[in-house]
Amino acid sequence: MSNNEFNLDQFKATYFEECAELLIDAETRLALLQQHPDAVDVEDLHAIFRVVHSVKGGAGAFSFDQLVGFAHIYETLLDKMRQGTIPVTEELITLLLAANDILTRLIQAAQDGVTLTDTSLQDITSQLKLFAEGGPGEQQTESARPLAQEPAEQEEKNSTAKSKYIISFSPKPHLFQHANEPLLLVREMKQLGELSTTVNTERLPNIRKIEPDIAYFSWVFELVTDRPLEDIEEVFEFVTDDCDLEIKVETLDTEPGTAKQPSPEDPDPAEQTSALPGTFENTGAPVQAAPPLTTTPGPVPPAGAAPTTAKVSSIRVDLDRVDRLVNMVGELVITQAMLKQQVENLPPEFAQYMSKGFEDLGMHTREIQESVMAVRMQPVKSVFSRIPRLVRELASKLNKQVELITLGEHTEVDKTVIEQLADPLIHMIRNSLDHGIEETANDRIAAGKPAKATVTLSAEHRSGRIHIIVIDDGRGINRERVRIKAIEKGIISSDASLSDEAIDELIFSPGFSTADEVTDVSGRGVGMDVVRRNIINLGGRIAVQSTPGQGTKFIMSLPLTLAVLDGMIVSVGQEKFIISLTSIIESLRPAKKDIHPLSNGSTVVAIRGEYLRLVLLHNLFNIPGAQHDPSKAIVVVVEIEGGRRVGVLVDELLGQQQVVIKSLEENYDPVEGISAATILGNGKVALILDVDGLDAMAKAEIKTSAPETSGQGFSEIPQGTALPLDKPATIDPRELAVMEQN
Amino acid sequence: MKLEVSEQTATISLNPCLDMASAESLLEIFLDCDNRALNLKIDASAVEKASTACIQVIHSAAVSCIDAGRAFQISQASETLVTAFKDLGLYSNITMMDEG
Repeated sequence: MSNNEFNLDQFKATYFEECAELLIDAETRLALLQQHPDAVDVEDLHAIFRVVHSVKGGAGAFSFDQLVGFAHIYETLLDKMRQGTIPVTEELITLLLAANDILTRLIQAAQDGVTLTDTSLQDITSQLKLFAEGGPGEQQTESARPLAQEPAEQEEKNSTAKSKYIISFSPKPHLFQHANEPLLLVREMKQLGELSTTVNTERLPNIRKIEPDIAYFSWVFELVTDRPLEDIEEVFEFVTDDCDLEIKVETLDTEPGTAKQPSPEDPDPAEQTSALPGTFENTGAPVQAAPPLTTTPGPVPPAGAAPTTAKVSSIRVDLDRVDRLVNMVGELVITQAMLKQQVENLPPEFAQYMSKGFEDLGMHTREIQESVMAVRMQPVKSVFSRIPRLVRELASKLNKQVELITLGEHTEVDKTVIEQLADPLIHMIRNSLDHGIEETANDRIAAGKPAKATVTLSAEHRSGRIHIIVIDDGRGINRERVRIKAIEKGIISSDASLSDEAIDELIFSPGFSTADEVTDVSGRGVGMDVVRRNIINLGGRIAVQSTPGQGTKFIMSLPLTLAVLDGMIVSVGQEKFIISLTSIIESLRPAKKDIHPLSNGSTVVAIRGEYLRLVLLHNLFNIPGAQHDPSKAIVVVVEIEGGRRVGVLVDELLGQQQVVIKSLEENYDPVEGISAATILGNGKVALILDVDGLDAMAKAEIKTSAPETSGQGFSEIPQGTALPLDKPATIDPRELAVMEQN
Repeated sequence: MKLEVSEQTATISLNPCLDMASAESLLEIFLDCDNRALNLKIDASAVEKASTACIQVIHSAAVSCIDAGRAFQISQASETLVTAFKDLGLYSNITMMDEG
């Protein structure tokens, strides 16, 4: 990088990205403290301290003075808490949570280039100072709860044995670019004990060749302290990837400063200083580097005092670069498909010759694609970590007792999905707490439930998708109230007869709310409708199951990635479609005797004693030239939401292919029954079927083609409604009843 | 940063904030002075914040200046700057500072 290209903004961007990750970690740890205030793990306090310390370090490098000032006060309190000098109380944990909020806002303010000027900053700062300075009198009484590791640590601190650490610190050139500042490290070490410093300026070039963002100096520090090695290592914790670091330790006698085996080659800082020329003119030559540490004799270091070796286990990559890579891999997949198709048109002797090569190419392309997709996968933990606090605050506001259980937080999903997961999830949790859980603990006890409600949030991979499930053990959906409200708001007619599941689905209707009063928690009727729309935009679906008196379960089903899928190419007339392989159970050509047309216009097929509704693509999309007779066509049995199955009628199966998903919303317009598009090997566009959307379309078709059944329940279910989940039924019982009448 | 040139000597008044972002502008001034073969006199009385990046630039400017046979002097160095030099182990530079 030339001098003129030095741009601090790129480092700031990295810093803010790191801050975001650090804050998530802090939030998670704080939630753990909150959950178990009586059994605090000191490691959580260490971790929060490291977060704040790291934020402060970077902020110092960029002169975010307000942030530095607050972080310093915050970490001072944390330091005392982790050392056990200030006991952990619930009051203090609440303060830490508030402090974390302020820290988050200060980071945002720094990012926006503004100064935070509200009173909460002053309030929290004052409280942090108050606690850090000893706080309310009872804080240091004997009732103080010691941390698990306190006795050992205290014993260690009380010991007068001191050690001399010889720390060889050689920054890598990019140290500054990662917002690290050696001065801060030095100052931290100075707080640990007596520090002497020897600098090596050999790498520093002439002023004409120097680059301002490159680190040239290196140092050897000698630190005499009674602190353990871990404390020294902690100073360098955030720069280990950006430096070569070696720490050697010599145990000194109880009298400070007396080494058991002093080395004649150890640099004496005082001597070195006085040995340096007294005028700058004579110091033009670089200061002599310290003698190599390897020549320093000394006792065998104690266990755990092995030299620290920095290992780079991860790198930070701009998301745009990963996205470009994903796009290019997508193009590669398409090109490979095109080549393969062209080869198939070659004479057999050539095609055979090429086939092995194409097999390898296909295998490698798939591996590349999977590897690239794995780069973007992240655990849902980053979203889940926000929920405990939300639940706690909402529960407090609503005066309800709620326990949150989170499961599967390490389940991974594409980053693009994660980014859009937070808002719907927060809406669902709010909904569960506000509407799902009984108003008072007495209501719950009267219903034979524990006073404390439980909300379970879980994530799992299922059928190539991720399922996010929110379950509460509250009162369930009050269907009568929902129905009345829906009628009041004109969502349904007063004489509509709806199934229980259809009533439950009404909560996703635009403008629907059963709340009598609009509060800051919910009741504006813009919640679940927006949730559903956001999820559908992501290629996902949401369903609700509710049992009166027992609770409600929301299930979000989302694709793991928005980039590629394994598909089955099928033909209907002259058209080609893609069906996701993950949704296909089997395909078959039914016998004529197994095909049953119903009076409402739909058709079912009997498969091993079960009746499946057929989705007739040629009907739904008006495709000419398609095979109308199911016994001469193929039924592709697909699983739809809730584990139910339907049969999609197609003319032929053309083969499996990995396809690159091209968004219809971005490139065209949304089309009902179609989730996306792709480009086939012949360069033509094929549509990817949304089997749940097809099912909904088929139901709507039944409704319009069978007017006599209008108002008879099933046909009244709003378009897009999914039937209840976890029911193995393959056909609506009322349809069977109609069939039997035939 | 303020630059005044009188005869063959440049007097550079350093900004209060010598953070990492300031290193580049500091370097540009030193390069300008180097191109004009000027002696350097640095007024560091206003420095309230220092960074290793800036201190590297100052050190390199000093060495380059002296190697070229020109004079280099830091005057009225603030406590902040003196402490930063000391913290980084640049004891020798302290001796030529006329602390403010």
